[in-house]
Amino acid sequence: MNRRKFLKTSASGALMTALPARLRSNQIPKNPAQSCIFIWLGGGNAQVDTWDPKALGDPLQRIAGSAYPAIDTAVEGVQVCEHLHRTAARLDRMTLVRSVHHEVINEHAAAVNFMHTGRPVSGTVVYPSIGAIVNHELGAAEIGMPGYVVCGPPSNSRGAGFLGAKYGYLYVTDTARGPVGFTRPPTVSEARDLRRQKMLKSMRNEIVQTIPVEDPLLQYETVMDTSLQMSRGGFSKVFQLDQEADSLRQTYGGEFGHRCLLARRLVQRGTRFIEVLHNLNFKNGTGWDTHREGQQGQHLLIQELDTALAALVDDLENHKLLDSTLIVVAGEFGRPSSFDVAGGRGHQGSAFSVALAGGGLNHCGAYGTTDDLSKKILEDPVSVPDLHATIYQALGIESSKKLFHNDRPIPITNDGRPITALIS
Amino acid sequence: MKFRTTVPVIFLVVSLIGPAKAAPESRIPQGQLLVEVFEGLESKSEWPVNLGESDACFILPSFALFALPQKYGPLGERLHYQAPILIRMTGRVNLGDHTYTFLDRTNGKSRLWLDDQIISQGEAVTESPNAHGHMRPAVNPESLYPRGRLGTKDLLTSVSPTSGSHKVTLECLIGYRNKSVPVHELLVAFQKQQSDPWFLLSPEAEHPTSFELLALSKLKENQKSSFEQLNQKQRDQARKQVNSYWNSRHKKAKRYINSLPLIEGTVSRINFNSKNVIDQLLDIRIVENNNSIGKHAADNQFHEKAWPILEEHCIRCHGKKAKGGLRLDSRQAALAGGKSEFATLVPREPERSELFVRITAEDELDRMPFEADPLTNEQIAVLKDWIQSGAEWDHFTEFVSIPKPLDELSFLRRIYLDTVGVPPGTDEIERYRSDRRRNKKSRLVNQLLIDPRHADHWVSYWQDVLAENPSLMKPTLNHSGPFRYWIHESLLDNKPFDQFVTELVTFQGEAYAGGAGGFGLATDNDSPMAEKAHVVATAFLGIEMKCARCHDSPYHLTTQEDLFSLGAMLAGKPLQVPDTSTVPVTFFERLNGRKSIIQSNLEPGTSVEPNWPFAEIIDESPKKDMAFNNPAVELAWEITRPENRRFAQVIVNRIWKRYFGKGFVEPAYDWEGNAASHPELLEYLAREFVANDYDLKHLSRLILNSTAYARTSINHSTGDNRFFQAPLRRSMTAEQLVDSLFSSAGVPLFTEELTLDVEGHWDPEIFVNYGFPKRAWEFVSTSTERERASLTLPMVNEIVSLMRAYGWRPNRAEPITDRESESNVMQPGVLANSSLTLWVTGLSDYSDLTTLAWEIESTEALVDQLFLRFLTRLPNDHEKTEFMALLEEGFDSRKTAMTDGFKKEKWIPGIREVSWGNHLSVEANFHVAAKVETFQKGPEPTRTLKADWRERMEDAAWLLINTPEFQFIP
Repeated sequence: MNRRKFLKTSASGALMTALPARLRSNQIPKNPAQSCIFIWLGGGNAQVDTWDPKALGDPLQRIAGSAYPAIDTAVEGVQVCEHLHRTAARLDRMTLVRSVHHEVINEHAAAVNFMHTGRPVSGTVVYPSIGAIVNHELGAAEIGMPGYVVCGPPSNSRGAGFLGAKYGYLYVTDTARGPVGFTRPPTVSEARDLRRQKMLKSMRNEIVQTIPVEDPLLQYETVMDTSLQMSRGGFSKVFQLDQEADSLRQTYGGEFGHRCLLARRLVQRGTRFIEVLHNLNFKNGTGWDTHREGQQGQHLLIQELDTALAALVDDLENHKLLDSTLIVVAGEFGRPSSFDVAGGRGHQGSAFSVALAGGGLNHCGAYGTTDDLSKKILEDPVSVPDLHATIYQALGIESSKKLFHNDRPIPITNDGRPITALIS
Repeated sequence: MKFRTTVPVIFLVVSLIGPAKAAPESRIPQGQLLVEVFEGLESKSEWPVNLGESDACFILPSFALFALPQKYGPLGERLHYQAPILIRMTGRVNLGDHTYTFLDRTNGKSRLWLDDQIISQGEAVTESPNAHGHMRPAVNPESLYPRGRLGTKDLLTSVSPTSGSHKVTLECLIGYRNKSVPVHELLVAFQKQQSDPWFLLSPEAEHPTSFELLALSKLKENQKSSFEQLNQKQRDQARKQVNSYWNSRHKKAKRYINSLPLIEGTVSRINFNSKNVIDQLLDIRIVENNNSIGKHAADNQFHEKAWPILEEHCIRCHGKKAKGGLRLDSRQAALAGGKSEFATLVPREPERSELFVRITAEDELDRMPFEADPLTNEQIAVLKDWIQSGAEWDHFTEFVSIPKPLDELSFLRRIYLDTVGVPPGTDEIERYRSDRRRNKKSRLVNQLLIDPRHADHWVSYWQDVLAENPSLMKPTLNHSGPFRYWIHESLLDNKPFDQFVTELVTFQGEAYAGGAGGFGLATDNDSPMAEKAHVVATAFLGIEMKCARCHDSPYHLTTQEDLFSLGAMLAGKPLQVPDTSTVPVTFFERLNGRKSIIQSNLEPGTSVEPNWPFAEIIDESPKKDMAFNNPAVELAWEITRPENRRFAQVIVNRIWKRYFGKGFVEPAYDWEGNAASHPELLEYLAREFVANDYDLKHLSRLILNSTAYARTSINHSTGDNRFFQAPLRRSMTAEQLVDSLFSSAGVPLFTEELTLDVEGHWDPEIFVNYGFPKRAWEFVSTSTERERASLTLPMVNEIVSLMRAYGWRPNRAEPITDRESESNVMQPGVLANSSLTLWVTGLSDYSDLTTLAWEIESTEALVDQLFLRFLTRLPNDHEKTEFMALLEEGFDSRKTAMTDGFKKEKWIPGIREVSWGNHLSVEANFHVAAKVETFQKGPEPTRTLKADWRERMEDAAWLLINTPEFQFIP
């Protein structure tokens, strides 16, 4: 029996041709990336001092411009600041998206939230962050591994929102200490831990035998076993960085580098989204939020980033994982090319850069252009939803997909269009 | 605005003294000093002249002030003191013929007077910088007195008075950015000779307080609890002003209830004079159900398998909404079909049933459910089988058996957790067990309901339901003010609930002073009042309008206009629909001509008038005959008047659900299309609530005294069929877990001060100070989205981290009734391995466990005590053997030679050196990192016990908190 299509009308055809070319592209790459390492430069890095250098300025004279001279890279016509020389040599495997923008007020919390969720905060629903969405769509590639890990402190913007806690992240704040909740405290010896776990198991067995089978306590019981397995098994071992060669660990640098190394190991073991925070501000006090005197030590941060990023790219390549691992380097906003009263920089969301590497993208060194002061975008603006759409597409997740919160369909991005030039 | 009304002066302890006049010191009792506060001064840098009467005054025992009592308005609403303020402390002290060194510590422009001479004065402390400042130099190790808080200054003066009584006055002028008037540490201390110990200056000379950390800490706590009593008195006083209004409303409400006919269906079946009306009404349904059991088929495919699928995936459109003219909520309706020419349901012929064709359609445009993920293969198979076998429509119910009553100790644990949020202590257990009176249970219920911890336990419930969502700093993410303090005070005072709702929706009290005004905020939200309308409707009326923010609700009868009308009432004026609260045009374009499930009726920019939108849905009474000059007040009245039966029922349902695990109506926040499982019982309790001054405790008392509540818990209720033969098995909430961990172990909950602005120089709207939390509800998320390590508060973070793992929301942007209850892997991990566990199980000098370990006589007695403390029961034989074996080794020689006895010490918070003002300095980062590391090692273990045995005892405690039983309510 021929079922008629009740709802379609003939107007639909006309609508299709009117849309711009970018909208129509919904292609998933043939070999999508399998994981994403999302490096977060907390505080918002100045693009003119990193990825989008302009003419030299002078902080003391308050002449707008880059604080450091630029150098050539492996991609002709593309330059970066001199402190990123290692990354410069690997730029053929990267694309610096220089035309990212958002209109959220230039306040840290709001901008961090927007960069992670792609939507302004609403009172009706809590939107999930990009990591939780990737976790929800792809899930860990291996049993017993989490799909989403944060190397840094817990944060509200990075959570799973309406998707539910099971798509949230596990986290580690100190790579030497291991994942929070899964490593026994250093003051408790292994022998002591074994002794008490044994006694606990005996107590648990008694309970399991005496309570009815639908008791929700049993659900918790199951989760206890999973947690123990993770503490003792593969998951926990991923964090043992001393299993890597000393020389390799040294190439990565300090704690931030170790977080990147940990991210590589997690990628190998099937974690899909790892956010690595560069938030330890021992070098210059302010971190990337280089107001006032914070600017003075900024080059130390950039060097730290350069060392770790280059090591990560090489390391992934050596493991033949670079094409299947998308690296994103972003902050909550950029900074103006002008200087403040004490030689530092304020915030700027109207134009800033996000760096992409690996992931099997059609890298072209740089995408999008800004004016001489990196204040206005001249070509190819990329909104935050567009950026997210690009990341999803690269990972093989259709950027037109819908999530559901009860009955409400919520598109995976707020009208974001992926950068088709990058997706093969 | 002066908050002093007719009786301005409030005693610290009990009685009141007269109004403040020009010569206050003549009325100061012997051995005390007078503190006067003058607010709203003209200048924060010039000493005021011609001060009139003080705005507040009270009495202190010594020259040490750590905070001010809360300021309240005439209706008891919380307010800020108006900046700048002057604090004046005056007393007569007896001094000898010495040369003293006086120290005055203040945080503003200061003057210290001896008799009529100024002996010391100083300018205000420099305002703390915006983040780029530096840490102050390290404390002088030789100092004989504790360092001042950040933001204070010390002035030293040498004084040689004559012997005798002298008047001492300390004045401090305080005002910083905008509304900030920090009062943290104002004191005068003295030293008789160099290298002598220091003491606080006091009119009472016999037992001067030492000027050192422990004594100061104790004094500060005493002052805090005195002020809490003072605050209580002020609120009681204020309430007297409005008592006659509410009394008359409650009288009318009672008359209204008494005028109603008997509840339908209960005549001659229920004895309303008996104490257990609840049990009678529950029993009727259970008996009815059990009597009808025999008639059902053994295998019920429909109820168990097919119906849940229809209910979850189809009814939202094909229930009351009858999309396409089709209803699927009864067999008759399904057979009748809808507008389609094809038969929806043809029993035994799935291929001819349009229902089946649609759920298996390949084309997205044809497929059902519409605009959603398709049904799984298993689900399709179930429906196919069901249709094939005849599409019977039987709601099968099981035989309801009555569980046994809980044994005494299990009952005790449950009722303590349900009323005060922590299990009973061993002394409380002992007292109850040895109570031989026949009515001991109802006495216990009464005692627990007036316990101040009952208020603590309920704050978190209302925080969730009302979306209380404050920030630690710079609130920009849909944050509200910290109106938790208003909630807590309302619960402490057992404020009638109609009054509570009225104060809430009229936003009484300053937003950042913890008043209900904080409910009116949703920072950076495109329409805060629309937001609050959503909250109010779900909380008090069971009407869910979440979708109506941007368009008419697709599955409910409410429209966008309804939401905005309600929002306009809250706003007190017409409300505009913002651009961002509409569905973008591209959404409709992308439908490619399909009809949309949603419609957007309000154009952005439309101005919606205040109007009560629920007259049809809820109102059963004639139109009102009152006029209101303020739509918000009108809204309060519409919600809380006795004729609004829905309001009373929604509240009753909420309270019932909290004790029993499910409500009569589910979900508790969305009543549309959801019938009550026990309409008579719901009605009975609603009438009780309204006729008894809208007293929440009255409801609790009725429920907690029922026989049903005291039975062994059941594990699930089959879908729609709820019989409440006993409460559902529940696990502790995050807050209960935290509070129970600390109280079971007998470790005081002390963390860093929950603020990032230690000096208090910033506007309280930008940096909120949450004080030193004592109960879990007082915490707030520490995520500032800056992830700056130097802003870390390690102890606070530990607690918040545990709570997050257990479903506590760090950001409560939307109102909810049910938290996520699924267990997750972080939970056992955190309990097993966190620093919080070290903190709680560690036998430090601050722990009752150490006292217990020291005083107990045998391992057998110790094991009993441990089980009673943590699990409110005695160990069984097997557990006893295992635990005694663990603790026997080294028991007899466990005490070290360190001391003759163990004395529990008081934990004192350290002096904070890093604040917002200096946190971006490199040294601040290192300083905080060191603190974090120290904390993660766990508390310093007591040296009065040998290490090996001490660890065994710690492991015993570890076992008892890690066994799943700990976190599940009996």
